[in-house]
Amino acid sequence: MQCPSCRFENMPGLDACGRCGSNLKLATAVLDVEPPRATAWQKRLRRWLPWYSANRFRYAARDGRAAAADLLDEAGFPLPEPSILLRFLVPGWAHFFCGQKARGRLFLGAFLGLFGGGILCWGSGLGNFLLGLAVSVHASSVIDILFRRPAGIVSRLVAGFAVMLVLGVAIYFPAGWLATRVAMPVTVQINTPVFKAGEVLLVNTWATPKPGSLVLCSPPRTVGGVYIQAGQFIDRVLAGPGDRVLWENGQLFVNGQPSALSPVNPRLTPRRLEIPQVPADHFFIIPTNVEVRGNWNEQNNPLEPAWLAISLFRADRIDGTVYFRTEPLTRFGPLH
Amino acid sequence: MSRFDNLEFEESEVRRTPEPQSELERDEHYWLKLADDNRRSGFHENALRYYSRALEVDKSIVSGWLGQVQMLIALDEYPEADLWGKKALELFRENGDLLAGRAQALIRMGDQRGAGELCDAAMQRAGPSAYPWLVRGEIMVAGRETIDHHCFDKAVALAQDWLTPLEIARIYLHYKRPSQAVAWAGKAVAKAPEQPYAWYVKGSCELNLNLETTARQSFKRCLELVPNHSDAQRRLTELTVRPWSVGRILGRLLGR
Repeated sequence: MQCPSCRFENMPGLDACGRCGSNLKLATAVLDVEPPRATAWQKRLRRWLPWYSANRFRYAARDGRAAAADLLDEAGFPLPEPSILLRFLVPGWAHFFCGQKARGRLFLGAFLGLFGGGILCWGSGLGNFLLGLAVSVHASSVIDILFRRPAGIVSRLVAGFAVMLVLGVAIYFPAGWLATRVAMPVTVQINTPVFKAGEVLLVNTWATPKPGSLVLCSPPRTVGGVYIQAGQFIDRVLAGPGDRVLWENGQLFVNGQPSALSPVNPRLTPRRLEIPQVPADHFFIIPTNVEVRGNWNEQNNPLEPAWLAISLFRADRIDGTVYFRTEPLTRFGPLH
Repeated sequence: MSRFDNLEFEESEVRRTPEPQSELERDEHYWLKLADDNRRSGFHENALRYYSRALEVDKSIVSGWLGQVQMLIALDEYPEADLWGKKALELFRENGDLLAGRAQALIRMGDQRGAGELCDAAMQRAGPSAYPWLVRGEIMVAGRETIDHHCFDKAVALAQDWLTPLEIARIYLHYKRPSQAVAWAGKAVAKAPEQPYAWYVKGSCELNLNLETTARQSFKRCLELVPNHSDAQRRLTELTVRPWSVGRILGRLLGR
């Protein structure tokens, strides 16, 4: 029986060619012989889109990766397969994939424990320490997979540095940037009835402030002859743009209705303050957590112009809303 | 080179295609012959269909599978050609021509490395076939290497058919090198002046070079040989109603 591919004369009764392995029973086999076809739309899209260039780029990237892998392998830094590379994103995942379940559990457990602890204490020294350890566990898990075969100390050090760099750029720097926007830790510097010095609060810089929310503000140093002695302070938004506000004898009225809202430190408020309408893009906040100095006489109640000047905050002066307390752990929880 | 290539027969005898008397006589060879005729006329869609008909009769014909892959490439369906080449290679492992077919599909998709590897494998296995050399030349053209003509010369030496220089011309045309394409198309026309497809490809090359007069002559010659050649007719109409273009006028002035 002659092979249709290589013309080798095989013994009768064989299913595959002894030389090239081709199927010898093809003539009678049930096979679809109609080739797949591109639709008119597919062909048109391929003509219009930079399909060829995109393919070339894809193949060039693949070839570049293969060349880099060869180079690194020769230099003693083996580069694993893409399937393993992807699993480096989660500590221990690559170990599970390679069948090293015990190591995988160890790395994943250590990472989750340290990372969870770091998140719980986010913003504090202990939190930073735990998060640093979590990152190092992640890097160790990667290095453990990279050096499954023996390697010198220099190779390990260089690889460790490179892995930290790649993990930092790929995961931790972007994640850190995002975390400091959504949960920026702020340490309270002075004691107030609401906050104690040393407490760590989380600030969401992307949240839109609304009446009642605690906000972190950056006031101007001087407003209308008043000097504000603070870089940033935390206080409550009492009214939003367009509201008519009256603060009288410790009671807030918004649009003529009494409001339950009050500043963080009600003892340091003016006696009377009236704003016919909060301007657009401004918020009404009485800064009671800062030391305010000015050339007015408190006994004669001259405060209104000065308070008026410092109580209206432009939206861009508000850094974010304060929503969570992480330290001390005894007071851990959301803020209202 | 086949031993009987240079034997002389009477013209009528050579041209005559034996018409099958019944459905039973329409065997795989009949369909393959039909596919080859259509391919040589530039009707790749029809050729693809006839290759499929041949394979329906006998799936063990390697040339049928190879023809399908080559027709898919000619129809600009490269991913499909690659896929079909893979399937064919599952049936005929390590067949040199099929490896070369896949290599050609890959190089058309831009995978130079994959194509090179497959072509190397094809060269080791193909034997005296011209097709791997053709694909090797195409890989060199795609890689802008200067020794592509050696591969094409080798291909032409192995297959002294007029279709080989024409395929080379089409390769150059695909990579937008009409000046080299026109030379190969000229060789094909010199070998087989009675083939309308050769004249058509030559005309296309000349059109790419803005040689309107000669392109018109080539298309007219093609239409003289086959009066209902729709592609040549369309090209000739395009030439006649071609809009005014600064680039073309500059090209003419510069002698392109």
